[in-house]
Amino acid sequence: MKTLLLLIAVFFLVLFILSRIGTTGKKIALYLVLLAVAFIMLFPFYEMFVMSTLKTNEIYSFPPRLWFGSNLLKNFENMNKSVNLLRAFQNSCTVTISYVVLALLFCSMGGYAFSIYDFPGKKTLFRILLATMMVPATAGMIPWYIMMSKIGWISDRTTAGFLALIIPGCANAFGVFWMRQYCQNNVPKSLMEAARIDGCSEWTIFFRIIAPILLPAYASLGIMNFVNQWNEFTQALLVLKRQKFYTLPLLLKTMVGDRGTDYGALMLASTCAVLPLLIFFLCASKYFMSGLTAGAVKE
Amino acid sequence: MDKTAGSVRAPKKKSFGRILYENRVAYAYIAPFYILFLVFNLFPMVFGFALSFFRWDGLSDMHFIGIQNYGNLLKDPLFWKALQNTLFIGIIAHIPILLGGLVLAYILNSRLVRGENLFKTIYFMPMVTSAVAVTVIFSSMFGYNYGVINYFLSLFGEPPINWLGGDGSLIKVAVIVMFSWKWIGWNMVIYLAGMQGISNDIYEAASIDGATHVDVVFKILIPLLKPIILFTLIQSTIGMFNLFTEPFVLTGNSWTGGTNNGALTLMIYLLNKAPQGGNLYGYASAVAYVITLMIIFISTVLNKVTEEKDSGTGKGGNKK
Amino acid sequence: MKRIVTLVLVTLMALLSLSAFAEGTVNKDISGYIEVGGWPSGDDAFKAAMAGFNEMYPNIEVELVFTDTTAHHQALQTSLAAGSGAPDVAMVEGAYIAQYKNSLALTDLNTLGAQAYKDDFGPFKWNQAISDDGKRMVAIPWDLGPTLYYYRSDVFEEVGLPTDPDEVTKLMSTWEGVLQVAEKVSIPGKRWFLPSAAYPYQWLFINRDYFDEKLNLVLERPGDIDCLNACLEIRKNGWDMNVDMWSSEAYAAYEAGTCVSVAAGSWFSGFLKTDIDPDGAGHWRATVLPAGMPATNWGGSFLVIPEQSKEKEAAWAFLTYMLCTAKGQNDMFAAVDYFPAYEPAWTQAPELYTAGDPYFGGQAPNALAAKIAGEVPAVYNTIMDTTAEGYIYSAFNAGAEAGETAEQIRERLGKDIEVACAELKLQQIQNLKDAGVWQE
Repeated sequence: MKTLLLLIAVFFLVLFILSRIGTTGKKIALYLVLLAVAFIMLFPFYEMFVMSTLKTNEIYSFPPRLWFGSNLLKNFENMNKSVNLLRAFQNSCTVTISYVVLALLFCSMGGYAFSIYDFPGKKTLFRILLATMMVPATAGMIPWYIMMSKIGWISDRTTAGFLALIIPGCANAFGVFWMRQYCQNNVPKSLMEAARIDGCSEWTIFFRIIAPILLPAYASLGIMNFVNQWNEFTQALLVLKRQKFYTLPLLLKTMVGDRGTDYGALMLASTCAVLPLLIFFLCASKYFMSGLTAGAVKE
Repeated sequence: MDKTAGSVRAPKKKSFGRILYENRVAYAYIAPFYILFLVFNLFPMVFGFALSFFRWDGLSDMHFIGIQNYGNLLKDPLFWKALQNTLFIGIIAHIPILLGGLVLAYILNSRLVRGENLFKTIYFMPMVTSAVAVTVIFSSMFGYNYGVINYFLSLFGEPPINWLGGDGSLIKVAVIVMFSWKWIGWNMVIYLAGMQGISNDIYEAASIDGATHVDVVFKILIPLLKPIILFTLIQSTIGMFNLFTEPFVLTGNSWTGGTNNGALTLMIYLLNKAPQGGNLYGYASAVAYVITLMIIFISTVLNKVTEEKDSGTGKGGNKK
Repeated sequence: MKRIVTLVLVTLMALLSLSAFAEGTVNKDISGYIEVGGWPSGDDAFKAAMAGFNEMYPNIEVELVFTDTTAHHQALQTSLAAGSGAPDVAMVEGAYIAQYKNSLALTDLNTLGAQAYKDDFGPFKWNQAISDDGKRMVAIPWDLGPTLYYYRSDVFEEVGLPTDPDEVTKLMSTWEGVLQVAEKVSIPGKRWFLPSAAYPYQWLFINRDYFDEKLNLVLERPGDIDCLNACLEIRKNGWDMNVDMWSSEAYAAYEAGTCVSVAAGSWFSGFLKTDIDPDGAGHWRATVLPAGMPATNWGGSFLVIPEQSKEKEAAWAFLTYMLCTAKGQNDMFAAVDYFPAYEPAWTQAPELYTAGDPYFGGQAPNALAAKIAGEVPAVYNTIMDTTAEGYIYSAFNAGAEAGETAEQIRERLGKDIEVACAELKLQQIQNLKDAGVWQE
């Protein structure tokens, strides 16, 4: 423990000294900080990749393995033997993409209305919306499930359970709030007035003029919703009854057993589950970041 | 009634239908949220609230017991312990995710460094991962006998530290690390967005005045970023009360939250009652509603604090 | 009116099942589609016995729905509370059975003819599935978990200790003997005697008989202070890994031979063979618990049929084939080492129980398990048991860390359990009141 604190102290001392010796020193110090944090952020991912090439007993050995092993193929075989990753991947895509599309539509409509229009009850309605963000979902888990089973949105023979994951949560309060903030900062009222004078209907204004302006916000909210839904576990567990309807988090969980877990295969499956997400994120990060940068929660 | 005057200053008495009709576009836009909310979320919430006045194990008869659940809850030392842990972890974790996030954003915003996009992307990556994998990795890293961290310490001749066992106090450290790892990038990206919205003139004016970086951060940035900070604070407060997976997995799926209930959080406490650990549905509902009250209370206080100091920028985030 | 109809129906059903039983033949024509839920390796067990089942009931189609233990119980619990979505047959782990035994959401198996099998099961398991008012029976026991002490004979040999189970038992018949062994096999920081020093103390409670029928905590056990002192000694000398026995670290150490012993239900034999140390034939032996601890049972599952099932006849056919026939039980036993609670299975295929197991170096742990199974007393279980159990490990660690004495640790455990179980106790009292068997 002492060593750890000492090391941290030394690190800060070095930074301090560097920052005192001119601009180059300062630059180096700043890069050191950025790289140290980047290392901490990336290390667990690196570990995941390494573990997916190791045997379970290699993963838990001393000293710990920090370099790739040779068990990748075997892990791949074991993974394929125990789970059908591709099917779960398709299920996850179906649920997540439908959810995100609907969420973006409804949230941007709601956020737009709250930011642009004045209507009676606006304040109260908005307060209600904010308040709903604060009730933990677990409070209503049982009644929610009762409801889903009465409607028949349970996947025992059909994919109806997907609806239970898509519909109830798609117009979420956070999304509406987010979109409202964005609209407030980026949609000039003058633009709408000009469009109205040109004789555009309100719907046309929204879909033709406003939606394109909202693109960056769509990207950022889209990613957030995507990540949340992609990793959703508790509700999926309740409504998806058969393995053939399982989404990725459920499927990964089936690989964790009391009897012992094939960690190599589990890590490989996790890598396969995360990789598309990461690639997608890396490609979209430009748009995503600009959605935030353009002032989603700006003053 | 004069129509043009009516549209400017709405008269007090109007029929409900007329109000609806006049604002039909706005209502239509917000309708999906409220309809879905009424249909799918209101019932569970109300049902849950009603349930909190019953003793029910989900398997046999329900028994109405008034506010007994709430009374017992307040009498339970474990509840207070869980609250204490949650607040402790939450408050300490805000040092890295709030201050760390600000500092990182400030560095990336400075003209001295390049590669802003690369770093932003890297810092944000933890948000985009699967919980199952992350928890396995972190519990192996903090492992007592085979963990990477203890291995690293052993290189300096240090004895291994029992992060996840011992007297239970170090589990909190592991939880805070894991929690911060996930959230720091999120906060950083949002702060950075805010900073980039602040005109460069302000910095230049400050540097001409001979202000240090600390001055700039505390006297200029933080006041200007207040609404944004408030937003992230409310979000991470909600996140703090929902803290479950990290402590639960790090303690080996233990409902005690580890030795001495070291990492017993409110959400572990709640889920232990129902529906995951046990089946005390009524009691669990009471816990859920007490947590909701606390979140609302803290959010209100946070809101008030910022509103009082400068009334112009409340949570609404009015336009400059 | 409704009541009369129900009564008539129940009587009819009872009569029907009785007559079916009286004939002694199996109705091959039962048809249906049933869903069976549980956790691994229950699925492997069912698959192993499925051929025999299909032969007997060719018209019943079975679908297995499996996930991990916690998730399974949560999903089952929720579907029962909500009244739909539960499988037709579900596994229930021994630790959870007390939560379910009074539940009206589960079919009273007496109405399907459960009583016919009463004598085929030991009272320890059978009584656990009977409701508190004694009228209903919601589950049929699947397997027992006679507690065995597993040790790495290769390490014992290496350090010059005897490896034969009987000799080991003799050597470890006192706590002094246990400590001697612990010292010999341990190399602090490299090799350890146990995953955690808390476990010997937990073995005293492993029947999960934490509370008596008046719901008073039974904290003091014969020999518990000696036991705790030995545990403290082990911890003090660094002879334990100081990790949870189910953690991945411990699992890796079992395989590597760096954690040389652990105790668990006899189902652990299967864990070792197929998952923990599959290449370790000859590494392990099993014997009874050390220091003269009494015979105990550690876990073991049940099967239940939810009331909401629309295929009860087929479900019951499945359940009885799997659990109440020697063939069904033994097929599953051979596949996954779930030790049958159905006693006729032991004699129908004696070779499964008495033959030496090459994995255990020719020793027959199952014979030992059968012997222990016969000695386990019937106990009283409550819904507080799992919560109470969770606190042994944490109370011992907390006490040891704070430098407490054995007595203080015991007292700490008592307090921890009382606090953590307070609300569950109220529910338990309510259950007993509902059953009409609670006296203030």
